[in-house]
Order: sequence, then C-alpha cells, then structure tokens
Amino acid sequence: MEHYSDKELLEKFKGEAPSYAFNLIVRKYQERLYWYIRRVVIDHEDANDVLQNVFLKAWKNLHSFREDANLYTWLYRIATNESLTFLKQKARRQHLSTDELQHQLAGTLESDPHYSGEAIQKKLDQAILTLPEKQRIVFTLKYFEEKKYDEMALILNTSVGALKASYHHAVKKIEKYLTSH
Amino acid sequence: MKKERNNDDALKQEAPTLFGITKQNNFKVPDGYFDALPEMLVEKRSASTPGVLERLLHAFHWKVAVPTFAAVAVILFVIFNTSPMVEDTAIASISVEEVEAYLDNEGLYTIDEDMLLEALEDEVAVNYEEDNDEIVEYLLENNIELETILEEL
Repeated sequence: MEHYSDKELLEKFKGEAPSYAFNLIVRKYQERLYWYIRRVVIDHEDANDVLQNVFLKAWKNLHSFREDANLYTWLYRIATNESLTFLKQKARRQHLSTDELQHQLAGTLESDPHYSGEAIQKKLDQAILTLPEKQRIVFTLKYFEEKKYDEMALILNTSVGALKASYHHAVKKIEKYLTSH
Repeated sequence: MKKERNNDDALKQEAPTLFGITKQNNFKVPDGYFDALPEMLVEKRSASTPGVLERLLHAFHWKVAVPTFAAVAVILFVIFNTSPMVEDTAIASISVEEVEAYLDNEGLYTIDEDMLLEALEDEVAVNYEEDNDEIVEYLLENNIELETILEEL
C-alpha cells in the first residue's frame, strides 16, 4: 500500500484520479496520525473526530498544496492544530481551563476501555498530562513519534533551539512526577 | 546511530526512571477501525465536497486576488474620473457659431422687448391707481386739508 511516494500520490491527486489518490494518502498516514492525535486528545471518539477533520481539511486544501513542501509534515501540522483547537473547544464547553481538562483526561485513563497499560506506563501517561499542552506536543513528537528536531521545527513552526529547551523541561518534569508519585 | 545513542545516554543521565520504562503504546482502537476509516471518509467527503463557490474561492488565491482587485480599482478610477472630462471635451468642441445658430433656431434669442415693457407698464399702472384711491380715502377720513399737505411739501 505504501509503495507510492508522496510525490507520486500528489501527482495522482492533481491528475485524473484525485479520489483514488486521496484514499491512498489516507491509508498511508491514518495510523501514524491517529496515534499521534490520540496521545494528545486521549479519548478514542475524540481522536476519531479530530482525525476525520484532519483528512477532510487535507482533502479540501490538497489541490493548493505546494509540491516543494513535505506532505507528511503538512499533515502533522494540520493534526497538531486540529488537536489543540479541539482541546480548547472541549475545555470551553466544560467551562474548564486546558490544564484542568488535562487533569480530567488523566483521570479517565483508569476507566477507558480502549486503554491498557502496566502501572508504571499509566503513571507515565498521567505524568505527560501534567505538562503544558505545547510541551506535551513536543514531548509526544520527540519521545513517542521519534521525530527529529528539524522535522518538529517544520511541524510546529518554531526553532530547533526552542524545541530542545522545551523537551528538556518536559523530561525533567516527567522524571520528577515519576519519582514523587 | 551515534546520535541516537547520545540521546539515550542523555536521557539515562537526566531521567533514569523515564529511561527505565519500556516505550509502548497503551492505547487501543475498536476492532477494524483502520479498515473502516477510509470508507467513512469517502462518505464524509462526498457530503462536504466543495461547491462551485467554494472552489472558486479556493482558486481565488491572493496571488490572483491582488492583481484582480488592483485592475478593478483602476477601471473604477478611470470610469469615475474620466466621465466629466468627456462632457467638458464635448462642450469645448462646439463652436460659438454653432451655439448661436442653435439659439436662433430655437427662438430663444428673439425676445420681443416691446411686449415685455407693455406687460411691466400695465402692472405698474394698476398698482398706481389702487394707491391713489387709498391716499384720497385716508385724507378724507383724517380731515387733512390739501393746503396743509402742500405746505408740508
């Protein structure tokens, strides 16, 4: 399924088979984007909504996508923006701050039927949810998605230096949480 | 590879507890979720396929929009600023002789001065007679003798 390069998929999309090409793009990226979004919004139904929005936005805007840019980076950027927007809206609907919402999400891990992990891994996921949301994004991209700093800089539109500092702070806070809880 | 090992060493030094945790995905999805997702997206896409207007707006990228708006602005400027000049030019191109000929033909140039004077005199005369009657009445009512008036004059 993934034997087409992004460039080939984009050519197909802009050519005679946009629908077919888009379907291939979805199949190529759906899992990676889903797990990234899921780590940010935590709940499966929320992740499903956000992921569908990401692909719908991509569908609507892909025809104006510049070929010199990286499709993979572009999709991650949309996913990041959609996830953060979703969390802000969810917090507003529940009259909570985003920090309070994250605290609430950490509590839902216990009862989530689509979550299973050993005690120490659950503690790690709860520790991550104590981070400010942008630091959490940086930590997720670096630690779980294993992205390089220059890729992250493109996704988050920020400098490599700022990302390194942010990741360093995140690691320190998580270590402190893990040793004190 | 060397860089990765350096990163691991740094993490081990900085956060030994975190380093000791096996990195794994604890989240799960319902069975068949990823198989069904592309089909769900096809349905959603067809429901939200951009309309003609939306596609036009997308096509109306700023690189197109800016020159278009500039062209429209120039056209409007030309229309609104050149219309009076057209009229002025048209009037300026008419010679004095043409204007006189036009007035002659329309009869606007031949006003009968005698008729105008007669009309004015009639109006003045009527008013003058009315004024004399009023003066006589006033003199009689107030018993003012004609000699007194003459003396005053």
